[in-house]
Amino acid sequence: MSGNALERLSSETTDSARSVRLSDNNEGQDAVDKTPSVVVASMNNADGWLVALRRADAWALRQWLAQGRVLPHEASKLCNHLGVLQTSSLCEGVRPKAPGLGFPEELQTPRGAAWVLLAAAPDLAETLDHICESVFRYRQLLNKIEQDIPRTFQGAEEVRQRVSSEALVRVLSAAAVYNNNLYLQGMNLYAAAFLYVLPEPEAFNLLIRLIDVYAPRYFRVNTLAGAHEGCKLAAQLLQFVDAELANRLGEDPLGLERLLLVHGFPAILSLSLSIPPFEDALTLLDWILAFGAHFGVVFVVARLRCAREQLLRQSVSAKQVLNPRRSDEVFYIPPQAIVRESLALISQLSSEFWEQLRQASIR
Amino acid sequence: MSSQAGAAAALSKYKLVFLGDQAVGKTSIITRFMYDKFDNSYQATIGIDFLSKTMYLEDRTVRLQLWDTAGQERFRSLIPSYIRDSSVAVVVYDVTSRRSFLNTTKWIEEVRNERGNEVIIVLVGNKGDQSDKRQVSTEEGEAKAKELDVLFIETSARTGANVKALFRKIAAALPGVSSATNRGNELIDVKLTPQEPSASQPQQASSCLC
Repeated sequence: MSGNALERLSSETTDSARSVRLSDNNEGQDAVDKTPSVVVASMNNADGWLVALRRADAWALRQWLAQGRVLPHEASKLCNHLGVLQTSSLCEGVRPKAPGLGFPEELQTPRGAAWVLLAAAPDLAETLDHICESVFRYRQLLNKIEQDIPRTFQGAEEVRQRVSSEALVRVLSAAAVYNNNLYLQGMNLYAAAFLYVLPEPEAFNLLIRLIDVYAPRYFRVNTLAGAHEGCKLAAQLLQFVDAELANRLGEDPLGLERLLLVHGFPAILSLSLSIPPFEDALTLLDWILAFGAHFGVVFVVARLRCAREQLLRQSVSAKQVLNPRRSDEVFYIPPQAIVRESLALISQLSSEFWEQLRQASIR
Repeated sequence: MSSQAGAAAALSKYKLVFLGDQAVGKTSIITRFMYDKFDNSYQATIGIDFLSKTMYLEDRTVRLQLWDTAGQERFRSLIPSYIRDSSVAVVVYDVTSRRSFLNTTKWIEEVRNERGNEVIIVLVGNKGDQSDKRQVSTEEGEAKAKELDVLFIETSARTGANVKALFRKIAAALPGVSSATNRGNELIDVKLTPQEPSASQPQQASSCLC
């Protein structure tokens, strides 16, 4: 792709993202509900590159998400939509024109625009003010936030180049203020991922969508119940789809359930962001933002399935697959393989189990 | 291989829980011990991490199960059950952070509350290589350890100094390990920061188990 095409692309992206917001404002939410299929964001370039994210599709995704209607038999419909996103250059991530410079709009990428649509992130006009104001208000919050900043995707140079510490502090403190003055440690991971593809106001909006809509049960005060339940369900899911592998992993001194409770927990709670490489986690985040946080639980089982042979032979450990602490510890699985395996797993699930998975993060 | 299998049969397992404030270097100490590496983790520990390692001592072999806890307050509620389960608590502070040192009192109290005297506690001052940023002196660490009746050592996960010594010290204190192993301590204790010779003496003295 030529430099010009890239440039045109990113400016078109910004334009279409802006038009999405404008039309949202103009029509009002009710009008949006009734509008069946308006193409809101579609981007073309000379290379035939196409992302067509229809308003109606995005709206259907939101509705399904909100009503819990993303059942296994419906998943294939959604996959087609997501397939468009996946096969397009969206996954490659278009670079911003001037990283760290100029106005925040320039940092918006097609992926970012898609995320905003998928998450139905509200456009809070006052957000930016809110962010700027809140930074200086809560010193105690700031202490905790600042401790987390240097520990955000250490070693991932691409993040360091594109996401400034200052932007992270602003978005995190704004989210903490929004969240009843509570900073939840670890939010730096999500915030950095959002800031990687979006300007600050949108990144903030997505972050509060995570807390309010996607996974309130991962974020609620003093309880990690949602993520713990996710671990248990992951163990059940593995037992159900692959008893041989489940039994093999069960030979671990921790036993299967505890093994997943320890090593599955970081991936589930972080929505896969805890596992490098960073860019791959973004691909998985596409699906989580489209389907819901429970997709992250399925990803854990899918990873184990992808590493099946090695796990059975015990040439890699579940920890390497699910909970590597440094980039050189990772047992690499391409994100496309994880997604493929996840979809295969989901097709085997009963609606009841799927609902249990979904409820674990949101109830 | 066959001799190793023989040793495995008699292998004693011990659970160690690592406690302490955020970013004091718990994971780094473990990484240095496990892989002899110092490399920043991709992100802070989320929840609890688990690793195990076999340690070959002079007179026997022990299997250490290491529970690496997250220092972030968010995950505190998970920790007590791991303390309850452990025979050794390694309470880490950062010698460049007075606050982390002060908070070790709470950590040690929590261990005592859960386990009484049925537990070996080691107070560890990490980041000993950063002498220019130091906020807690070796003497203060020693004094606190003495007052609270726990073991003490200063380490640097970055340079590797005293990390092996820490685990030797723990191994020597484990029930059923003969005092022959204990003698290993003196051979590997390393002075971390340039200081007057007299200052390093009490550290060696306090590493004694009596």
